[in-house]
Amino acid sequence: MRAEIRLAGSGGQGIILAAKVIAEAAGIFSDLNVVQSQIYGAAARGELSKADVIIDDGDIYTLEIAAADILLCLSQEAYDRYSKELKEDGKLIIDSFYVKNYDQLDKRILSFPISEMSKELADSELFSNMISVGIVTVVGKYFSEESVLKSVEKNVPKNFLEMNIKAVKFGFEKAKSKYPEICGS
Amino acid sequence: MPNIELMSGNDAVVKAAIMSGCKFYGGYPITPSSEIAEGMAKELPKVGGKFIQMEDEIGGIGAAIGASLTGVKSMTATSGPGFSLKQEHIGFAVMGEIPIVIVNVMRGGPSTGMPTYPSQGDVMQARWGTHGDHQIIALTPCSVQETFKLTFEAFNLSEMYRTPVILLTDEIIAHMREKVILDEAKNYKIIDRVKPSVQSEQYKPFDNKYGLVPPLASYGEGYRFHITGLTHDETGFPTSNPNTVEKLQERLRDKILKNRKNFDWYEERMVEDAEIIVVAYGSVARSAMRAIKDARRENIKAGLFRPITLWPFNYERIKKLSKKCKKFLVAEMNLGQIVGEVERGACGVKTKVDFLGRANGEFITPTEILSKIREVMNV
Repeated sequence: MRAEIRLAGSGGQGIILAAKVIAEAAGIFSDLNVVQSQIYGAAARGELSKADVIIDDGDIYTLEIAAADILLCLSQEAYDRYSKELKEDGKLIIDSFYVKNYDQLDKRILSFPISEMSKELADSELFSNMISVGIVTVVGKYFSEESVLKSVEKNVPKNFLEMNIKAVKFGFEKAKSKYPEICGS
Repeated sequence: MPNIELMSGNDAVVKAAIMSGCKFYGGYPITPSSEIAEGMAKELPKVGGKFIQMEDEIGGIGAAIGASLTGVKSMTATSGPGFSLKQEHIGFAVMGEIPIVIVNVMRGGPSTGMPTYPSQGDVMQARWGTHGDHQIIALTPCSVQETFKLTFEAFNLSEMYRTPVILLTDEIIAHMREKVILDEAKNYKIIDRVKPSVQSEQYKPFDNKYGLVPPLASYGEGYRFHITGLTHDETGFPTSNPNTVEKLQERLRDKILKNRKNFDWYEERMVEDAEIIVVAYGSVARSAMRAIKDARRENIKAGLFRPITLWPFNYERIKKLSKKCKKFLVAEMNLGQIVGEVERGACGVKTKVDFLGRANGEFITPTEILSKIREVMNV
C-alpha cells in the first residue's frame, strides 16, 4: 500500500501542521512508514503553500509525489496549480467557499464548505486545517480515526486541544454524512 | 512502545549531536541548514553547552575550533557559500589536528545559487575545498534515520582521529520528515578523544611515539602547548625541516588512510549478478533503490552501490565490482563529480561508466534513473 497525500492552500491556513498531524497518525500511531515534505522558503503568509505526505507499509524510495491519491485544496490558487496532479482514481477535496472555479464534471471532487464549517464551530477560520485532517482521514482510511486523534493530542498546544479535537471529529462526521459511499465504514 | 519520533534531517542532526555529547556550536545561520543552528541554540543550554552565533561563517567555524581545543565536542553547520568561507579553517583543523564536525547541507550553486533547492554540488569541495595535500572524512546519509546515526559517527571519527569530519547532507534529506527510532542510539558507541597521560612538562601535542594519533590535551587544564597552521614538529612549533615536515605529512595521511577499514561504510543491493550497477549517494540513492527494483521487474539485472563514506572514496570496491558488471551508471545532482572517481576506480577494466546528472535544482526521480538504465542497456 502506498498513498500520496498533498495538502495545498495559502500560507497561514495551517497546512504544515495538518501534514504533520497526518504524518504522525500514520507513522507514529499506525506503524506505517512516512515521508513528509513541504515547499520551503517562499511560502509565506497568504502565498501558495503545499505539504506532501507519503505513506507506505513498505520502504519509501520515491520521495516526491507525481500524482496524488488525495489532494486537498483550500484556495483557488492551490486548485489551479495542483488539480492536474491527481491520480485517475484519486480524490480532490476542496473548500467550496474559496474554490469557486473548478471542473463541475470531475467526479473525483469532494466539496465541503470547510472554512464556513470552521466559522460555525468556532467563529473563526482557524480550524479549517483540523476539519480537513478529519475529512482526509475518513476519505483515505489509511489510518484509524483513533490514531489521528492521538496525533492531534501530541501536536496541538494543550489549551487548544479540545477545539482541535472537535474540529477533527466535525470533519469525520461531515464527510461521512455527505459522502457515505466513500467515507462510510 | 519504542521511542520513535517524526523529524527532519536537520532535527536529527541536532538530536544526535546533543546525544553524542556535543557541548559547543559556533555558526551563522544559512538556508537550508538554519534549523540546525536553531535547534542547537535551543538544546545546548539545557545540557550546559554553549551556542554562539558569530559575526559570519568564518567566525563560526573558528569559534568551534577554539572550543574543541578546550576539550569539548564542537560543531558548526552551513551550506554552499558558507561552506566555501569555512574552507581555510577546515585546513587549519586538519593541520592542527583539531576534532570538529562540519555539517554541510548541499544546495544549488555556485555562489548563492539556489538557497532552497537541493544539489550535490559540493562533493569535490568537501574533498579538495581547502588547499594543500590533505585527507578528509565525509559521510553522506540517504535517510533521516541514517542522518541521526552518521552524526554520532562523525563525532566519533573526529575524536578518534583528531580531524575535521564533514557530514554531507542535501536539502531533501535535511528538510523532509521521516521516522527516527531513537532507541537505535543504545547500540551506538560514543567515543571521546584520548587525553595525555604524561605530566604537562612532558606533553608534546604532536608526539608520534603514541602512534598515528597523538593524545590531545585540553586548554585550561594546565597543559601549555602551541597550535599553528604552519608545518610543525612534535612540540607544535613551526619548522620547515624537510625530514620533519615529511614525517608530519605522512602521519596526517596515514592516520586516515590506514584506519580507513574502520569507517569504510557502503551499501550494496543486488550487485551479485548485476550487469549494470547504479552508483548513487544521499537522497538520490533513494530514487536509485526504486529504479533498480523496477529494472529487475523488466528483467534488467541492475544493482546499487551506495557509498556512505564518500571520502576517502572506495576505489578498491569499485574495481572489484567493475570486474563483475558490464556498466556503471552514476546518478548525482551535479554536472559530474563522483562519476570521475568511479571512472578512476574502474580504470583498466572494460566496464563503461555512464552518467545521469543535472544542477538545475530538480531532484532526480526513480523514473529518470530507470529510463537511463534502459537506454544504456539498450532495452
